[in-house]
Amino acid sequence: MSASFDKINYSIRANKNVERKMLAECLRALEGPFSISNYRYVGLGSMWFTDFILFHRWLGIDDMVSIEQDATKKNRLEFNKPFACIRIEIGKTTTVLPKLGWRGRRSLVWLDYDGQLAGAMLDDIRIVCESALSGTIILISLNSNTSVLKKDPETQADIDPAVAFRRIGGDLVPVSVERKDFSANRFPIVLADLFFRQFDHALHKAGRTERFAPLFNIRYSDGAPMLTVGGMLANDVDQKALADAKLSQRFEFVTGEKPYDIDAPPLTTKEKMAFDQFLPRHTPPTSTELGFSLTATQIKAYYKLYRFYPVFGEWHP
Amino acid sequence: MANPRQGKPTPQVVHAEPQKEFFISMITRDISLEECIMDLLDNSVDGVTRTRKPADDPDYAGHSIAIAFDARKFSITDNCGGISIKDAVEYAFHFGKRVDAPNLKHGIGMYGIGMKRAMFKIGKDIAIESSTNTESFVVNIDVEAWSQIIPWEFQLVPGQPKPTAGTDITIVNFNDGISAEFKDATFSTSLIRSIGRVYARFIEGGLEIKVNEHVVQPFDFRLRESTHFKPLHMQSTANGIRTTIVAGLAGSPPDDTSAEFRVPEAERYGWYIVCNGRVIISGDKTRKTVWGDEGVPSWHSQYNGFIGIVEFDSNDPEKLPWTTTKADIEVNSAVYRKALVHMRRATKQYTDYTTARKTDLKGAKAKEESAKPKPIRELPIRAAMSLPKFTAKGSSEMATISYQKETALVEKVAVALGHRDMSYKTIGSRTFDYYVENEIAK
Repeated sequence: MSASFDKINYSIRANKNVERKMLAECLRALEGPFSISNYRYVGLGSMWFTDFILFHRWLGIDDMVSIEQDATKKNRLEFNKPFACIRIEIGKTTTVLPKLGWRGRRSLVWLDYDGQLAGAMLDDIRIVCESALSGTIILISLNSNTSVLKKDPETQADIDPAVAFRRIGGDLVPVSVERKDFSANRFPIVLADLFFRQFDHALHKAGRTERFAPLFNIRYSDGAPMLTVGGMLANDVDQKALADAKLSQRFEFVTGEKPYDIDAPPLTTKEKMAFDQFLPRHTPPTSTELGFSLTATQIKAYYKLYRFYPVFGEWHP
Repeated sequence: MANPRQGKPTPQVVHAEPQKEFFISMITRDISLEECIMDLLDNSVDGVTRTRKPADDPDYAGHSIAIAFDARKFSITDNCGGISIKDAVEYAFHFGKRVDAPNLKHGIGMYGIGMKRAMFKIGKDIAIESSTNTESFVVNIDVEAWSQIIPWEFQLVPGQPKPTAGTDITIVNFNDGISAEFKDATFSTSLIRSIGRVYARFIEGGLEIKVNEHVVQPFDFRLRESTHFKPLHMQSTANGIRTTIVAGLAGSPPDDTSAEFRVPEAERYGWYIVCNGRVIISGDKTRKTVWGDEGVPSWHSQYNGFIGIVEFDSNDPEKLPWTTTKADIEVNSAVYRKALVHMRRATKQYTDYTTARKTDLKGAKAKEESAKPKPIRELPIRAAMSLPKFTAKGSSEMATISYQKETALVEKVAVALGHRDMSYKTIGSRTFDYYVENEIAK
């Protein structure tokens, strides 16, 4: 499921980069009530380990597991892993996750798939929900395109995506879902709903008293439309601690089940620096103040996420 | 033994009255929430049946049942005629059918337990309101208080008729686990699917069933028919029971039997048993419907594509082979044994076909796809199923190639060939064709 290092270095996708930092900042705010630094991080680090580097540095997590399906990459992954606290596990997520041992400590799990919806993703959620301790945070990212749902796998003939979607989601798919829900604007909503249903359902089926507390439903596109959903598996004590942390008041991207869009405008480094000189401030600057033209939407978008906006450069070692 | 020297002993009364709490917990234990809701639906359907002549009239138009639930409240409301005060006082609330109770012709709720069991399973505060065209009543049951008193009675308050003749049951103060089940995202989807299947014949007849405002669509039973495929469709009547058996190809058997089948794809195949229009068993793949019994192979995913339906109809519902929960069949009943003979023959014929078709898969698939799915009611009467024959000629000309490659690489090839989820079999075949196309002289 992970082919990302053959295609692109994930760390230079601007919106993805912003999302990662937003998540890290929010999770850092849970250090007080939840001691996030004592969590174990489970991720799909690929060759770049970008999330691992960020979470080790920002959150102080020092027990990390990266799952990689392709056994032939093991050697390169071991060579590239940035810290000694990262353990590489080879195999499909659905095979590796049950073996990880979940009772020892709480986990922060980010299943950052780069592909479109597959049944194995729902299985992975089930596995985590069956075993992880209360307080565990689980995030799923995937491509929210619908092309695999629109073609028959064998003949490539056009098929009704609602049928293919039901084949994957089974009874999690509401009866009301129909063909029009597979448009670029509608599908991310339907897809996020499927995952939120699966979090609740998997906990219920496992006979657990913990409930799923939704935190994130983030959408962005760096070429391909992406969706990140997630939250915490929490018993009553953790539900209260989480509510007391008032994340949604402190971070506007903590929206529960409501979608939040990240849309970082492409700015040159010179523009970014000029913009930053006006910030922070209660209202965004105007184009006139900035001295260069941006649309009102672009100004508002940058104003909201300027602290996370990445600057990329070329480096000749 | 009595001691003769002590004279004749005085007989004493030994107490054996049922304890209400024990009784309630016992009758509600072996039934699922979904089955309970269907027991309530059965009562509503019977309400319509009660008003009609003849009793097996298939027209249910104008009648509707609405089920609604959330984490705190359940309700079922119908316009199916209502319960008369006499029926309520004398029969409807009895636990178990009274010996002298009249039989409802062609009914589906015959054991006199379903409605009470369903209500007690769900919750502790129950309100039943029912109105006929001439009168109405209300019965409120506080289950905890009721289980503390000795008499087996409920209080009924009579009233004037309501504008709509029908029954409305509302339940709050749920028992443990019910709220969580109602809240679960899959519960209502699965319930809607089950209702569409179990009550397909009534819904097709015009009955409207709504679940949380969603109108349930009937499961569309169709079998493929063409010059090559002729489904079995036989009818017989004996001892007041009409038996109808339909069987044949519904989908195509899968290419690759190792392929993973998820719900609801595979659950639709297998045998269905229907009593007076109500489905008792759906998509069964076990011994009780011939699989793995008397020369028929056990179910295997290779047999996906097969659907068989046995319908028993009788004016006297007690003659039909169903159990109290209506979730199972009485396998030892004579009428069912007779049906099993035909079921076995049809099933064996189909399983043999799925093996034979492998000798000419391409030809078989072409024939299967060209046969049009036809609603089962439109199929002509036919004493035996007919399926395409395959000669051994095909097999001598074909070879099977089998090999292993790394999964990661195979997945890349699948994407390059056009779809991530392509079966391994198709990937093998396409890559072979590619080699032939490019390297073998024409």
